[in-house]
Amino acid sequence: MDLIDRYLIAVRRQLPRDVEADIASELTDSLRSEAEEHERIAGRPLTEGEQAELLKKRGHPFIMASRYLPQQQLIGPALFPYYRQALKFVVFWVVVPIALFGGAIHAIYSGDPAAIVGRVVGAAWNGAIYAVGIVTIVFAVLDHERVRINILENWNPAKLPEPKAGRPVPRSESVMSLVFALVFLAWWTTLVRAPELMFYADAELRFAAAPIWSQLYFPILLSVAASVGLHLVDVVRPWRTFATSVADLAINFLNLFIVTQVLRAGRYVEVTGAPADADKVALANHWLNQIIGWTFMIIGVVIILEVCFELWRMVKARRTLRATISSTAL
Amino acid sequence: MDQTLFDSLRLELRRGCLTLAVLAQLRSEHYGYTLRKALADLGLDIDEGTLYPLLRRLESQDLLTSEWREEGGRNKRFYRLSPEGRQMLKQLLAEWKGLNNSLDRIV
Repeated sequence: MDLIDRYLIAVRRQLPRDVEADIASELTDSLRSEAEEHERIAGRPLTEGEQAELLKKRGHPFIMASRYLPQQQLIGPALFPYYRQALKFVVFWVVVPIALFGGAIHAIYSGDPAAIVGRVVGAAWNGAIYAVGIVTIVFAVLDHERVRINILENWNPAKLPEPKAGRPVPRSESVMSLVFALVFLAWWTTLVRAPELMFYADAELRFAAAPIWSQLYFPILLSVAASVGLHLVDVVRPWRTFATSVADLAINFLNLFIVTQVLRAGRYVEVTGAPADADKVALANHWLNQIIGWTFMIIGVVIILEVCFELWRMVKARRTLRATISSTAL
Repeated sequence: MDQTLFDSLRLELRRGCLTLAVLAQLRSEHYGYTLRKALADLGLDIDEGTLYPLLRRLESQDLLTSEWREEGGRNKRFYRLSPEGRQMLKQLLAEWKGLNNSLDRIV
Protein backbone atom coordinates (compact mmCIF):
# COMPACT_ATOMS: atom_id res chain seq x y z
CA MET A 1 0.00 0.00 0.00
CA ASP A 2 1.63 3.23 -1.13
CA LEU A 3 1.14 6.79 0.12
CA ILE A 4 -1.62 7.50 -2.40
CA ASP A 5 -3.67 4.55 -1.07
CA ARG A 6 -3.13 5.71 2.51
CA TYR A 7 -4.15 9.23 1.56
CA LEU A 8 -7.33 8.00 -0.13
CA ILE A 9 -8.26 5.89 2.91
CA ALA A 10 -7.71 8.88 5.18
CA VAL A 11 -9.94 11.08 2.99
CA ARG A 12 -12.59 8.38 2.78
CA ARG A 13 -12.82 8.13 6.58
CA GLN A 14 -13.94 11.77 6.74
CA LEU A 15 -16.65 11.51 4.10
CA PRO A 16 -20.37 10.76 4.58
CA ARG A 17 -21.17 7.08 4.01
CA ASP A 18 -23.56 7.61 1.10
CA VAL A 19 -20.99 9.38 -1.09
CA GLU A 20 -17.62 8.09 0.12
CA ALA A 21 -17.23 5.32 -2.48
CA ASP A 22 -18.16 7.61 -5.35
CA ILE A 23 -15.85 10.44 -4.27
CA ALA A 24 -13.00 8.06 -3.44
CA SER A 25 -13.20 6.43 -6.92
CA GLU A 26 -13.03 9.79 -8.61
CA LEU A 27 -10.14 10.95 -6.44
CA THR A 28 -8.31 7.67 -7.03
CA ASP A 29 -8.52 8.11 -10.76
CA SER A 30 -7.38 11.70 -10.58
CA LEU A 31 -4.41 10.98 -8.31
CA ARG A 32 -3.36 7.87 -10.20
CA SER A 33 -3.65 9.65 -13.55
CA GLU A 34 -1.39 12.44 -12.37
CA ALA A 35 1.08 10.03 -10.78
CA GLU A 36 1.22 7.98 -14.00
CA GLU A 37 1.91 11.06 -16.05
CA HIS A 38 4.80 12.00 -13.78
CA GLU A 39 6.10 8.42 -13.99
CA ARG A 40 5.89 8.48 -17.79
CA ILE A 41 7.92 11.69 -17.91
CA ALA A 42 10.48 10.39 -15.38
CA GLY A 43 10.56 6.91 -16.95
CA ARG A 44 10.40 5.28 -13.51
CA PRO A 45 7.97 4.80 -10.61
CA LEU A 46 7.58 7.76 -8.26
CA THR A 47 9.56 7.67 -5.05
CA GLU A 48 7.80 8.02 -1.72
CA GLY A 49 9.07 11.59 -1.44
CA GLU A 50 7.66 12.49 -4.87
CA GLN A 51 4.32 10.93 -3.96
CA ALA A 52 4.30 12.88 -0.72
CA GLU A 53 4.96 16.08 -2.68
CA LEU A 54 2.04 15.28 -4.99
CA LEU A 55 -0.28 14.68 -2.05
CA LYS A 56 0.83 17.72 -0.10
CA LYS A 57 -0.31 19.91 -3.00
CA ARG A 58 -3.82 18.53 -2.52
CA GLY A 59 -3.98 19.39 1.14
CA HIS A 60 -4.54 17.44 4.34
CA PRO A 61 -7.11 14.61 4.00
CA PHE A 62 -9.35 16.41 6.48
CA ILE A 63 -9.32 19.59 4.35
CA MET A 64 -9.81 17.63 1.12
CA ALA A 65 -12.81 15.74 2.56
CA SER A 66 -14.38 18.84 4.10
CA ARG A 67 -14.56 20.48 0.66
CA TYR A 68 -16.99 17.80 -0.43
CA LEU A 69 -19.35 18.37 2.46
CA PRO A 70 -22.53 20.20 1.53
CA GLN A 71 -22.28 22.73 4.37
CA GLN A 72 -19.09 24.79 4.43
CA GLN A 73 -20.06 27.05 7.32
CA LEU A 74 -21.82 26.65 10.64
CA ILE A 75 -24.01 29.72 10.19
CA GLY A 76 -24.34 31.14 6.70
CA PRO A 77 -24.55 34.79 5.65
CA ALA A 78 -28.38 34.75 5.52
CA LEU A 79 -28.71 34.01 9.23
CA PHE A 80 -25.47 35.57 10.49
CA PRO A 81 -26.84 39.11 11.13
CA TYR A 82 -29.67 37.62 13.24
CA TYR A 83 -27.20 35.36 15.04
CA ARG A 84 -24.96 38.30 15.90
CA GLN A 85 -27.89 40.34 17.24
CA ALA A 86 -29.16 37.37 19.25
CA LEU A 87 -25.71 36.89 20.79
CA LYS A 88 -25.45 40.56 21.75
CA PHE A 89 -28.93 40.53 23.23
CA VAL A 90 -28.47 37.36 25.27
CA VAL A 91 -25.02 38.26 26.61
CA PHE A 92 -25.49 41.97 27.35
CA TRP A 93 -29.20 42.02 28.21
CA VAL A 94 -29.71 38.72 29.96
CA VAL A 95 -26.47 37.20 31.25
CA VAL A 96 -24.61 40.32 32.42
CA PRO A 97 -27.60 42.02 34.15
CA ILE A 98 -28.58 38.77 35.93
CA ALA A 99 -24.99 38.23 37.08
CA LEU A 100 -24.65 41.85 38.28
CA PHE A 101 -28.01 41.92 40.02
CA GLY A 102 -27.46 38.56 41.66
CA GLY A 103 -23.96 39.60 42.70
CA ALA A 104 -25.15 42.90 44.15
CA ILE A 105 -27.86 41.17 46.20
CA HIS A 106 -25.31 38.64 47.48
CA ALA A 107 -22.89 41.46 48.30
CA ILE A 108 -25.49 43.12 50.53
CA TYR A 109 -26.21 39.88 52.38
CA SER A 110 -22.61 38.76 52.55
CA GLY A 111 -20.16 39.96 55.17
CA ASP A 112 -17.37 39.88 52.59
CA PRO A 113 -18.44 41.89 49.51
CA ALA A 114 -14.91 41.65 48.01
CA ALA A 115 -15.28 37.88 47.62
CA ILE A 116 -18.46 38.43 45.63
CA VAL A 117 -16.56 40.12 42.76
CA GLY A 118 -14.83 36.88 41.80
CA ARG A 119 -18.10 34.95 42.00
CA VAL A 120 -19.91 37.52 39.86
CA VAL A 121 -17.16 37.49 37.21
CA GLY A 122 -17.15 33.68 37.27
CA ALA A 123 -20.95 33.48 37.00
CA ALA A 124 -20.98 36.03 34.15
CA TRP A 125 -18.22 34.14 32.31
CA ASN A 126 -19.92 30.74 32.69
CA GLY A 127 -23.29 32.19 31.81
CA ALA A 128 -21.84 33.87 28.70
CA ILE A 129 -20.22 30.62 27.54
CA TYR A 130 -23.46 28.65 28.00
CA ALA A 131 -25.52 31.38 26.34
CA VAL A 132 -23.16 31.66 23.35
CA GLY A 133 -23.14 27.86 23.01
CA ILE A 134 -26.92 27.54 23.11
CA VAL A 135 -27.53 30.44 20.69
CA THR A 136 -24.89 29.05 18.30
CA ILE A 137 -26.42 25.57 18.35
CA VAL A 138 -29.92 26.96 17.73
CA PHE A 139 -28.72 29.02 14.76
CA ALA A 140 -26.58 26.18 13.37
CA VAL A 141 -29.66 23.93 13.41
CA LEU A 142 -31.77 26.65 11.77
CA ASP A 143 -29.12 27.09 9.08
CA HIS A 144 -28.79 23.36 8.55
CA GLU A 145 -32.56 23.07 8.15
CA ARG A 146 -32.47 26.06 5.78
CA VAL A 147 -34.88 28.05 7.93
CA ARG A 148 -34.91 31.66 6.81
CA ILE A 149 -35.85 34.57 9.05
CA ASN A 150 -37.40 37.44 7.16
CA ILE A 151 -38.65 39.73 9.92
CA LEU A 152 -36.23 42.47 8.83
CA GLU A 153 -37.12 42.26 5.15
CA ASN A 154 -40.39 44.18 5.43
CA TRP A 155 -38.86 47.31 6.92
CA ASN A 156 -39.95 50.82 6.21
CA PRO A 157 -37.21 53.41 5.54
CA ALA A 158 -39.64 56.14 6.61
CA LYS A 159 -39.50 54.72 10.15
CA LEU A 160 -35.76 55.23 10.51
CA PRO A 161 -35.14 57.50 13.52
CA GLU A 162 -34.38 61.12 12.83
CA PRO A 163 -31.16 62.50 14.28
CA LYS A 164 -31.89 63.60 17.83
CA ALA A 165 -30.54 66.57 19.71
CA GLY A 166 -28.62 64.51 22.17
CA ARG A 167 -25.52 62.57 22.93
CA PRO A 168 -25.50 58.78 22.75
CA VAL A 169 -25.53 56.98 26.10
CA PRO A 170 -23.95 53.52 25.99
CA ARG A 171 -26.54 50.89 26.94
CA SER A 172 -23.96 49.00 29.00
CA GLU A 173 -23.52 52.13 31.17
CA SER A 174 -27.30 52.54 31.57
CA VAL A 175 -27.82 48.86 32.46
CA MET A 176 -25.09 49.03 35.12
CA SER A 177 -26.55 52.21 36.62
CA LEU A 178 -30.04 50.70 36.54
CA VAL A 179 -28.92 47.55 38.34
CA PHE A 180 -27.15 49.53 41.09
CA ALA A 181 -30.10 51.91 41.48
CA LEU A 182 -32.51 48.96 41.80
CA VAL A 183 -30.31 47.27 44.37
CA PHE A 184 -30.06 50.50 46.37
CA LEU A 185 -33.83 50.95 46.12
CA ALA A 186 -34.36 47.41 47.41
CA TRP A 187 -32.09 48.15 50.35
CA TRP A 188 -33.59 51.56 51.07
CA THR A 189 -37.14 50.22 51.13
CA THR A 190 -35.83 47.41 53.43
CA LEU A 191 -36.64 44.70 50.94
CA VAL A 192 -33.15 43.48 51.75
CA ARG A 193 -31.28 44.20 54.96
CA ALA A 194 -27.64 45.00 55.51
CA PRO A 195 -25.94 43.50 58.56
CA GLU A 196 -26.45 45.68 61.64
CA LEU A 197 -24.14 43.85 63.99
CA MET A 198 -20.37 43.99 63.64
CA PHE A 199 -17.31 43.23 65.74
CA TYR A 200 -14.52 45.73 66.31
CA ALA A 201 -11.47 44.82 68.43
CA ASP A 202 -13.47 41.98 70.07
CA ALA A 203 -16.25 44.40 71.07
CA GLU A 204 -19.81 43.78 69.86
CA LEU A 205 -21.03 46.96 68.20
CA ARG A 206 -24.54 47.76 66.98
CA PHE A 207 -25.23 50.29 64.29
CA ALA A 208 -28.37 52.37 63.95
CA ALA A 209 -29.16 55.07 61.42
CA ALA A 210 -29.14 58.65 62.76
CA PRO A 211 -32.49 60.57 62.73
CA ILE A 212 -31.45 62.52 59.59
CA TRP A 213 -32.10 59.43 57.46
CA SER A 214 -35.74 59.23 58.60
CA GLN A 215 -36.17 62.91 57.74
CA LEU A 216 -34.64 62.37 54.29
CA TYR A 217 -36.37 59.03 53.63
CA PHE A 218 -38.80 60.32 51.01
CA PRO A 219 -36.42 62.74 49.19
CA ILE A 220 -33.92 59.87 48.84
CA LEU A 221 -36.67 57.47 47.74
CA LEU A 222 -37.82 60.04 45.16
CA SER A 223 -34.26 60.55 43.90
CA VAL A 224 -33.56 56.83 43.50
CA ALA A 225 -36.96 56.10 41.91
CA ALA A 226 -36.41 58.96 39.45
CA SER A 227 -32.93 57.59 38.66
CA VAL A 228 -34.42 54.15 37.95
CA GLY A 229 -36.93 55.78 35.58
CA LEU A 230 -34.23 57.81 33.84
CA HIS A 231 -31.94 54.79 33.39
CA LEU A 232 -34.87 52.79 32.01
CA VAL A 233 -35.48 55.53 29.43
CA ASP A 234 -31.74 55.55 28.62
CA VAL A 235 -31.82 51.79 28.10
CA VAL A 236 -34.82 51.89 25.77
CA ARG A 237 -33.68 55.02 23.92
CA PRO A 238 -29.90 55.25 24.22
CA TRP A 239 -29.41 58.94 23.59
CA ARG A 240 -29.99 61.96 25.79
CA THR A 241 -32.63 64.38 24.58
CA PHE A 242 -33.04 67.82 26.04
CA ALA A 243 -35.85 66.52 28.28
CA THR A 244 -33.84 63.58 29.66
CA SER A 245 -30.83 65.83 30.25
CA VAL A 246 -33.03 68.24 32.20
CA ALA A 247 -34.43 65.31 34.21
CA ASP A 248 -30.85 64.20 34.95
CA LEU A 249 -29.98 67.72 36.11
CA ALA A 250 -33.11 67.88 38.31
CA ILE A 251 -32.17 64.56 39.96
CA ASN A 252 -28.65 65.84 40.55
CA PHE A 253 -29.97 69.06 42.13
CA LEU A 254 -32.18 66.96 44.40
CA ASN A 255 -29.14 64.84 45.29
CA LEU A 256 -27.19 68.00 46.03
CA PHE A 257 -29.96 69.14 48.38
CA ILE A 258 -29.91 65.75 50.12
CA VAL A 259 -26.12 65.89 50.51
CA THR A 260 -26.22 69.37 52.03
CA GLN A 261 -28.92 68.28 54.50
CA VAL A 262 -26.89 65.21 55.44
CA LEU A 263 -23.71 67.28 55.94
CA ARG A 264 -25.57 69.86 58.04
CA ALA A 265 -26.84 67.09 60.32
CA GLY A 266 -23.24 66.02 61.04
CA ARG A 267 -24.37 62.74 62.59
CA TYR A 268 -25.08 59.73 60.39
CA VAL A 269 -24.69 56.59 62.48
CA GLU A 270 -25.28 55.83 66.14
CA VAL A 271 -22.92 53.15 67.37
CA THR A 272 -23.84 51.43 70.62
CA GLY A 273 -22.27 48.64 72.62
CA ALA A 274 -21.72 47.18 76.08
CA PRO A 275 -20.77 49.72 78.83
CA ALA A 276 -17.45 47.93 79.21
CA ASP A 277 -16.62 48.85 75.59
CA ALA A 278 -17.45 52.55 75.99
CA ASP A 279 -14.07 53.74 74.68
CA LYS A 280 -14.32 51.52 71.60
CA VAL A 281 -17.91 52.69 71.02
CA ALA A 282 -16.82 56.34 71.25
CA LEU A 283 -13.91 55.72 68.86
CA ALA A 284 -16.17 53.91 66.37
CA ASN A 285 -18.77 56.70 66.61
CA HIS A 286 -16.17 59.37 66.00
CA TRP A 287 -14.38 57.78 63.08
CA LEU A 288 -17.39 56.30 61.38
CA ASN A 289 -19.26 59.62 61.36
CA GLN A 290 -16.08 61.40 60.30
CA ILE A 291 -15.53 59.03 57.37
CA ILE A 292 -19.16 59.21 56.29
CA GLY A 293 -18.99 63.01 56.46
CA TRP A 294 -15.89 63.09 54.22
CA THR A 295 -17.52 60.63 51.86
CA PHE A 296 -20.58 62.87 51.49
CA MET A 297 -18.33 65.89 50.86
CA ILE A 298 -16.71 63.97 47.99
CA ILE A 299 -20.14 62.89 46.73
CA GLY A 300 -21.22 66.55 46.78
CA VAL A 301 -18.18 67.59 44.72
CA VAL A 302 -18.83 64.75 42.26
CA ILE A 303 -22.47 65.80 41.86
CA ILE A 304 -21.44 69.42 41.18
CA LEU A 305 -18.92 68.25 38.58
CA GLU A 306 -21.54 65.98 37.03
CA VAL A 307 -24.00 68.87 36.74
CA CYS A 308 -21.33 70.98 34.99
CA PHE A 309 -20.38 68.06 32.74
CA GLU A 310 -24.01 67.36 31.78
CA LEU A 311 -24.53 71.06 30.91
CA TRP A 312 -21.37 71.04 28.79
CA ARG A 313 -22.46 67.83 27.03
CA MET A 314 -25.90 69.33 26.28
CA VAL A 315 -24.27 72.32 24.60
CA LYS A 316 -21.77 70.13 22.72
CA ALA A 317 -24.51 67.75 21.51
CA ARG A 318 -26.51 70.65 20.11
CA ARG A 319 -23.46 71.96 18.24
CA THR A 320 -22.67 68.49 16.83
CA LEU A 321 -26.25 68.03 15.65
CA ARG A 322 -26.21 71.40 13.87
CA ALA A 323 -22.91 70.49 12.17
CA THR A 324 -24.29 67.06 11.12
CA ILE A 325 -27.48 68.51 9.68
CA SER A 326 -25.61 71.18 7.71
CA SER A 327 -23.05 68.68 6.33
CA THR A 328 -25.87 66.26 5.33
CA ALA A 329 -27.71 69.08 3.58
CA LEU A 330 -24.65 69.94 1.45
CA MET B 1 0.95 44.86 0.33
CA ASP B 2 -1.24 42.67 2.53
CA GLN B 3 -0.80 39.21 0.98
CA THR B 4 -3.66 37.66 2.98
CA LEU B 5 -6.07 40.31 1.81
CA PHE B 6 -4.86 39.91 -1.77
CA ASP B 7 -5.37 36.13 -1.60
CA SER B 8 -8.86 36.55 -0.20
CA LEU B 9 -9.88 39.09 -2.88
CA ARG B 10 -8.28 36.97 -5.59
CA LEU B 11 -10.26 33.96 -4.40
CA GLU B 12 -13.47 35.98 -4.56
CA LEU B 13 -12.61 37.19 -8.06
CA ARG B 14 -11.80 33.69 -9.29
CA ARG B 15 -14.80 31.90 -7.77
CA GLY B 16 -17.39 32.96 -10.34
CA CYS B 17 -14.92 32.74 -13.23
CA LEU B 18 -14.07 29.12 -12.39
CA THR B 19 -17.72 28.07 -12.63
CA LEU B 20 -17.98 29.75 -15.99
CA ALA B 21 -14.74 28.18 -17.24
CA VAL B 22 -15.75 24.68 -16.10
CA LEU B 23 -19.16 24.97 -17.74
CA ALA B 24 -17.60 26.24 -20.96
CA GLN B 25 -14.96 23.52 -21.02
CA LEU B 26 -17.58 20.82 -20.51
CA ARG B 27 -19.27 21.61 -23.78
CA SER B 28 -17.15 18.60 -24.74
CA GLU B 29 -16.91 15.56 -22.50
CA HIS B 30 -14.11 15.29 -19.93
CA TYR B 31 -13.30 13.34 -16.83
CA GLY B 32 -11.88 15.17 -13.82
CA TYR B 33 -8.19 14.83 -14.56
CA THR B 34 -8.36 15.77 -18.27
CA LEU B 35 -10.66 18.69 -17.42
CA ARG B 36 -8.17 20.01 -14.91
CA LYS B 37 -5.34 19.58 -17.41
CA ALA B 38 -7.28 21.24 -20.22
CA LEU B 39 -8.02 24.23 -18.00
CA ALA B 40 -4.41 24.42 -16.81
CA ASP B 41 -3.14 24.26 -20.42
CA LEU B 42 -5.36 27.25 -21.17
CA GLY B 43 -3.85 29.14 -18.21
CA LEU B 44 -6.46 28.46 -15.54
CA ASP B 45 -5.04 26.36 -12.72
CA ILE B 46 -7.64 24.84 -10.46
CA ASP B 47 -6.85 22.47 -7.63
CA GLU B 48 -8.68 19.21 -7.12
CA GLY B 49 -10.14 20.25 -3.81
CA THR B 50 -11.99 23.01 -5.66
CA LEU B 51 -12.74 21.28 -8.96
CA TYR B 52 -14.39 18.06 -7.80
CA PRO B 53 -16.75 19.62 -5.26
CA LEU B 54 -17.63 22.21 -7.92
CA LEU B 55 -18.43 19.46 -10.45
CA ARG B 56 -20.67 17.74 -7.89
CA ARG B 57 -22.45 20.98 -7.09
CA LEU B 58 -23.05 21.77 -10.76
CA GLU B 59 -24.33 18.25 -11.30
CA SER B 60 -26.70 18.51 -8.33
CA GLN B 61 -27.98 21.73 -9.90
CA ASP B 62 -28.70 19.76 -13.11
CA LEU B 63 -26.21 21.80 -15.11
CA LEU B 64 -23.98 18.77 -15.77
CA THR B 65 -24.55 15.09 -16.43
CA SER B 66 -22.04 12.40 -15.58
CA GLU B 67 -21.47 8.73 -16.21
CA TRP B 68 -18.92 6.18 -15.03
CA ARG B 69 -17.03 4.42 -17.81
CA GLU B 70 -13.94 2.29 -17.91
CA GLU B 71 -10.99 3.76 -19.77
CA GLY B 72 -7.33 2.77 -19.62
CA GLY B 73 -8.13 -0.03 -17.17
CA ARG B 74 -9.70 2.31 -14.62
CA ASN B 75 -13.17 3.58 -13.88
CA LYS B 76 -13.55 7.25 -14.72
CA ARG B 77 -16.41 9.64 -14.28
CA PHE B 78 -17.11 11.60 -17.45
CA TYR B 79 -18.85 14.95 -17.23
CA ARG B 80 -20.71 16.87 -19.90
CA LEU B 81 -22.90 19.95 -20.04
CA SER B 82 -26.63 19.16 -19.73
CA PRO B 83 -29.23 21.00 -21.88
CA GLU B 84 -30.01 23.18 -18.83
CA GLY B 85 -26.29 23.77 -18.38
CA ARG B 86 -25.99 24.83 -22.02
CA GLN B 87 -28.79 27.36 -21.52
CA MET B 88 -27.24 28.60 -18.28
CA LEU B 89 -23.81 28.92 -19.91
CA LYS B 90 -25.29 31.05 -22.66
CA GLN B 91 -26.85 33.42 -20.15
CA LEU B 92 -23.75 33.54 -17.95
CA LEU B 93 -21.49 34.24 -20.93
CA ALA B 94 -23.70 37.15 -21.97
CA GLU B 95 -23.51 38.46 -18.39
CA TRP B 96 -19.75 37.99 -18.26
CA LYS B 97 -19.22 39.76 -21.59
CA GLY B 98 -21.32 42.67 -20.37
CA LEU B 99 -19.30 42.86 -17.15
CA ASN B 100 -16.05 42.58 -19.05
CA ASN B 101 -17.00 45.41 -21.40
CA SER B 102 -17.99 47.59 -18.45
CA LEU B 103 -14.77 46.80 -16.63
CA ASP B 104 -12.73 47.55 -19.75
CA ARG B 105 -14.31 50.98 -19.88
CA ILE B 106 -13.87 51.53 -16.13
CA VAL B 107 -10.22 50.45 -15.83
